[in-house]
Amino acid sequence: MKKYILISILTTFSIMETMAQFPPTKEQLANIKKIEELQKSNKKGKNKGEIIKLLNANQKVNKEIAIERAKQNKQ
Amino acid sequence: MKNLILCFLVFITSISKGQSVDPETFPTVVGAISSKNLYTNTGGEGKISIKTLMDSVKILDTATITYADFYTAITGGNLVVGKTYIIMDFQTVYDQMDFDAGGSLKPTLVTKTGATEQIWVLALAPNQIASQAYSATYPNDKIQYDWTYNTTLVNGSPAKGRISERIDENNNRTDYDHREIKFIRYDDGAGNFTVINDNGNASGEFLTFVQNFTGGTVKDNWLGDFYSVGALVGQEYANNVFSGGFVLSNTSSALFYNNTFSGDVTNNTFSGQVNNNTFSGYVYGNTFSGDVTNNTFSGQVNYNTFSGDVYSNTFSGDVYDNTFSGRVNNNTFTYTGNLQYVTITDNLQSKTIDDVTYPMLFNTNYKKEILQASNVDNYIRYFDGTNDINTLIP
Repeated sequence: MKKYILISILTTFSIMETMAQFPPTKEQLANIKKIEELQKSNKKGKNKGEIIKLLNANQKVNKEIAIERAKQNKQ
Repeated sequence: MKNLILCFLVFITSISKGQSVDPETFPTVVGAISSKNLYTNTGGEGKISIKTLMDSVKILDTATITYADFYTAITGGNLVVGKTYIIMDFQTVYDQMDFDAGGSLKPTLVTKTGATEQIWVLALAPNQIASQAYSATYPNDKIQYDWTYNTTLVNGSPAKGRISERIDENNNRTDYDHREIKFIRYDDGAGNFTVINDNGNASGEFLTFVQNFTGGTVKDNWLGDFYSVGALVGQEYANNVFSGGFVLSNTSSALFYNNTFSGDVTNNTFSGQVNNNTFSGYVYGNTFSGDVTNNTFSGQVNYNTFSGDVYSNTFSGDVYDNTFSGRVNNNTFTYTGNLQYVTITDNLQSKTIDDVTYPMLFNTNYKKEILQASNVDNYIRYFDGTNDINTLIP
């Protein structure tokens, strides 16, 4: 039982830490909402192309944030 | 004769009235009933022991069910509270991630299906189950089961729920089914399947803990929850592969993804964003608390603490007993031998540091510091027994 409580606490802190380190942008959050909408009518994967585009868009935003942080670090 | 018939009718009436009993008038039985008896006249069998009756009836508190029927029952609020449902046909179904040369998800992903695993779930309410589930297939594992996952993220293929946490019998923890979900790695050209992005070479698919259950020592590794934030960074699962035979007591935060560890990885804490790295040697006793991005560590990396941002570096030799507390970016350490007992508390960027120009730094057993002077220049400092020696890194 103690182990599960510990794991739960670790998980909570991990998510909190993640959100602190990685505040998602409005664009990323908007893309997530679009993905959720597309999933509702994604029978036989008819929306998969659009979903992959949105996932890649989020990845691109993440990379841009990393590059921006790198630039800031150099200054 | 008339009197005789009349007497007979009176006799019959008396008997039939005597047998006419209203059971509603019986007193309610109080207390345990297993020692009591029931009585009946039907078929001439008069007495039934209640205990015998109880023993002959199996009270079922489990029900076998298919995922499809279970989904219908829980969404319709028709689960029987307290009953354990045995989902007989559960299989992990997932869209296997595959990245093109530029690191983007390919336009077509393949849906993969794992082996059948019998999952036991307990109904807490007509439309709710306990988060903890049980696996009859792997009874020593602790699992959580997410019944809502009925289609895969990208391909929309029919799924049968997903394992949202698995702690296997070796105490390795992930937020996905690491017994089934496999990740693609491409050949680096030298026969090592370490490359995540498609480089045109042959590929293989690997579990997260490659040598778990196959003779390796892979224990007590705790990988953080990536799934809940995965789509924000563009992928569903964390995509980490540990190929070494000794993978022990490592802990990662959630943003720990797209890493390949080919050697032994032991006693590390990865707390920052650690992604797109390939560590091909031994990696022991490290604490990476900052961003550690796009690095290739090809040697042994031992007893280090990286507390700042550490990215776009290449360490090609043994690196141990070091502390990097500053921003250490875009540097190349080129040397033969060991880089050890070095403390970098500097904003060190875009330097090439080799053992010809800076011999004091490599293969020496005394303490060295790389530090930033007040005029922002970078220096290597060590004590020669008499004085501090400062060497400018131009």
